[in-house]
Amino acid sequence: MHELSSQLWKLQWRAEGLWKAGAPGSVFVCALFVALVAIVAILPDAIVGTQGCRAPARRLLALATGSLIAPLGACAWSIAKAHTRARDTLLFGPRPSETTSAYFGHRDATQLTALFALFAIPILLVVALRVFPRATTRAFVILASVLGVTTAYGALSLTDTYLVVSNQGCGDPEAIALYTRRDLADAQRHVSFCIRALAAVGIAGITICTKLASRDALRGRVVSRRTVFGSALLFVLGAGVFLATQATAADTHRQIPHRPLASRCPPEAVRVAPIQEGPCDSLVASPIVLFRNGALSIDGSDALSHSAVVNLLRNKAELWKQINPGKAFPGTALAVAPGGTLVRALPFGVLQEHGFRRIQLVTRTEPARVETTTLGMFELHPLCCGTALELDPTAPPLPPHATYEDLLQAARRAKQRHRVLRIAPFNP
Amino acid sequence: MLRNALSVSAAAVGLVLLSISAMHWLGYDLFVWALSVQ
Repeated sequence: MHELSSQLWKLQWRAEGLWKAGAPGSVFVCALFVALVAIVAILPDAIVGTQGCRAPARRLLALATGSLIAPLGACAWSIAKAHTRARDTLLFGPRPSETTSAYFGHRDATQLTALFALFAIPILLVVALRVFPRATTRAFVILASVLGVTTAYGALSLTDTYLVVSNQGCGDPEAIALYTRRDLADAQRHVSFCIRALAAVGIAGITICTKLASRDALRGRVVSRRTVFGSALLFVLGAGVFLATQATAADTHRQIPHRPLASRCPPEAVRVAPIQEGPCDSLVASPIVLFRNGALSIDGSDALSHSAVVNLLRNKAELWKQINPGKAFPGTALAVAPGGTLVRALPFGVLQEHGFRRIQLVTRTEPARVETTTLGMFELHPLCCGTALELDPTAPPLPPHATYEDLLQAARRAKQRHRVLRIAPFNP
Repeated sequence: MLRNALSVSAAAVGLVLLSISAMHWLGYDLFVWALSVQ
């Protein structure tokens, strides 16, 4: 009961969002719904064979079943649309906000349809059992209902994962990625369980239905050509959809590799930072000083002269103090440069003068890729980490031709000895 | 007898395959979404 009220609350919340989100889309879905009702209202009659029933009851049941199939069709359309949109944004950007909004739209449709199915299927089952006198037809209807309820409940549980994931991470991209990976693994286990349950129910149902149908034949009740045609149609539809979703099925169970580092690369560092070797730390949220092609930038702003560097650093420090009144200034900064850059070209002297004494030398991981069936080779966002050093005028100076790579090696050796490398900055 | 058995079992197999495909399709959505935030 608690689960039901929880689902209803979520439904109300999501329905409000859906209504506010896009009226044209809702009108289209409604129009599709009406069209599908009209089309599929005649199908159940052909599929399950309602000979021997009174005409009004038969038509009522056909219409009710059609009404159930119609939103499922609308939901399938919504999912197909979300697939296309998500794949486009995944491959061509921007991601992930566009992809997320695409899936939230389809999650609402799935949730709505699944809840509708969970309420409607038992009612239809009761009506159908009263309308159909034959044991074979009854067994088939029961099998269809159990399969429908299992699928609907599985879909409803999966849509909950979207809610859980969207409420986690607090906006930190790597935390969101971590939680999503974990929840995907849970969802994959859930999908596997549902598929095994569907297969088990299916095998049992097929066995029972076939035995009952054979018994009917021994008693002289042979199915009509119309029923055979309906059954063949359902088989072709099922087999076709199953074959068409084989590529997505392969990706559904694919694992996203676990990556132990906790920091996403700042955009500036993605192509510049050297590849990491050995252990390193998560990046601290700090100004990022990038040196590339003989030019400096700080947090993406070009610092073409010494005075520009001084102004930018001073502004960064003052802004931090205004945002964090009364707290001690941490004085941390991130440094990024190609491995061959001379250390004396980096503005460590100016950084130290303006209170930025703790530096993290940024390195990045080797690109991680996931081989998918539907999206090809997919490259994951690169991760970065930092190796700490401290700027101290009293420390021994570095050789004049030391490079960023030399500095990294020295900082790593110090870290392996559980110490922090201290260097005297070169004065400009 | 064969016609009866084949008819009902074909319809039932079709339903089972449709249900399994639906679960795969829904699960695939989460995979793509999870990939998009990596």
